[in-house]
Amino acid sequence: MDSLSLIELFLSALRFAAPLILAAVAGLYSERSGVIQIALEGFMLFGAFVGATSAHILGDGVAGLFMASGFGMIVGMFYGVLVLKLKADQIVAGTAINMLAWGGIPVVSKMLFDVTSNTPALEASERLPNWVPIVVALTVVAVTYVLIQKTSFGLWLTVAGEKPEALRAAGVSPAGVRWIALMISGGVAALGGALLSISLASSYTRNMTAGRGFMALAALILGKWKPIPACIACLLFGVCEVAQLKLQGVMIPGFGVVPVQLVQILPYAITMFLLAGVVGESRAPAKLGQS
Amino acid sequence: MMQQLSKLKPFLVSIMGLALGLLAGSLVAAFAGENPLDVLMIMVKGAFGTLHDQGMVIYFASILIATGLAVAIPFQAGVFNIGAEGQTLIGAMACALAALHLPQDLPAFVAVTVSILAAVLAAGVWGGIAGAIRAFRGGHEVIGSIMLNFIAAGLTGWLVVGTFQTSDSQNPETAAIAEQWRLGRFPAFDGAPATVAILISLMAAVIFWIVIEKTRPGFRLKAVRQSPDAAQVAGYSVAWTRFWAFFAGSAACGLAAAAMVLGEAGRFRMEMSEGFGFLGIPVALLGRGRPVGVVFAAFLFAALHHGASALDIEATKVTRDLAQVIAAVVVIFVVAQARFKSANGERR
Repeated sequence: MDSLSLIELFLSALRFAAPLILAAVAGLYSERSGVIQIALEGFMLFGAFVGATSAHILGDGVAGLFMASGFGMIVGMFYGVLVLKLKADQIVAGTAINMLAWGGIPVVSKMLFDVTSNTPALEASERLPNWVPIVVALTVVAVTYVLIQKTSFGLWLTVAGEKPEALRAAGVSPAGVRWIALMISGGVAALGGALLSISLASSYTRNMTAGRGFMALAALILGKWKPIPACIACLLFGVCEVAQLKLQGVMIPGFGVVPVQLVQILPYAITMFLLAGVVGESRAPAKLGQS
Repeated sequence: MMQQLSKLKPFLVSIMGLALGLLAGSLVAAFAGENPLDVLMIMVKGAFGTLHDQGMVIYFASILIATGLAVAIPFQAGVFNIGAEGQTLIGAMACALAALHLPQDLPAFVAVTVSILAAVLAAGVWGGIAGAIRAFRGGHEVIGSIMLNFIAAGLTGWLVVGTFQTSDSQNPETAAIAEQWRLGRFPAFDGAPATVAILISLMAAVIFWIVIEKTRPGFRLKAVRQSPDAAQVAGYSVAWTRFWAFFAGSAACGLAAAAMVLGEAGRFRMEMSEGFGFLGIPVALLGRGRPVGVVFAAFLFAALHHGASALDIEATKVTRDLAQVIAAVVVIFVVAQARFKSANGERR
């Protein structure tokens, strides 16, 4: 394989990984501040649906991205109401958000487009070109890295998840930091979902995120809650997804054609191995889940 | 007096959650341009209109009691199982394969029992993977169990299409199980698949009640949920307790699988579970994780599920997905009111 096609392969892996990278970064904001983020899948689904719908109605993919992340922020705040204000169990509340996305989107889709399973196909002019997911994802990772390493908000975020009483002593409200973190989390994860429906595909289809929100969480843990390692872990899933496309229908000598169902479970199986192996060694923010 | 009130509170929260869910569903229906009262009537008539409908509700309840227990049992130990969908699929595959491959001269009672046990064991082992990763390696059970859902769908799909596809159908399904090896249907319900599965599920709920109320392992579950550190000091193995709770919960899905395979379809069929595993979550939450609550909630959601399917035909602007919205609102309300405590504070 020559170097040019290797680069191409890498870029397409990065493109597939982009929504996942954004979801992992979204989880990072929330979990670093001490709030477990099981709702990423729901945020992404809402983002995918609102993004594709807005892009279709407004005739502009970029507008779709903005609408999606705006809506994601609202859902993130709603999650905040449940876990910060009402002190609901974070895992069950996150699952409730996911259920709302699984059940609610088909209902709204039926109202708007008279079908429950997908939004109308986007015109080529309404979609976003290939490079957009890569640029958006890498930008968000870079901004997050700088924010966490160099700014006082980044410091607050970490302290809110590790030693909230110290933050309180310094005159900063840990709850306030967590509200902002959850808002960013919702917005960024929804952005990832919107890239999925506006750029990687050309419409929203039912449950198109296919568990990416949960894989992103695994990648985040694998990346020890740090932006760049988490991003690299997501890339692993991107490679996996490209391999999946390349493997379909390929003959392997002595084995026959690889069955499509088995190829499709590859990323999920890898997540399981990571969860069982490396992840156990990774240390979570001290106050994760206790806010 | 105060004590009586506080005992009543969980019940009131559940009732209010349900009322709020129905209200939200009505608002959504109104917003979609349907008359909410009509929608409600369609659902009620759809659920209870005929004997056959009532039989269907019993059939769905026998499934939902099992998937509700699948969530409620691990919750007793503070772990959260959202993998009932995959556990049910694996159990269904095991059940069908056992029933298809047992020697045909076995007495029906033995064959059916073995098939059900195969389903229970397979479902338990499948969920047990996520339980073990959580208990012994600290990898989060929510991620693990949802990944296992996807893997189960792929694996059973591959098995049925690649190996066990029946030749007498174009659909992805196995051959039919011998008639005499299926669960008997109650004759009163006009042919609906209301079978003894409902009795088996109720029995499972009773066993769950006895275990948590009357036995030492039941006490251990609660101790581990409420204070893992204290439980550890008291000499209980927190990891093993969590694992067994997860295993037992997952195993309950085998009963749901048997109700579908031996009671309704008579075979394994791809996509045979209509999201019953996920419905187990609102069932367990509305039932407050208690055996009696789970049984009541299962019947309620069974009626909701079956009633809502009538919307596909009789309503123009809303579909059966409305039931999902109602379920989500119920979960949100109950979780916001109740101080559910899972072990998420010290997960790794």
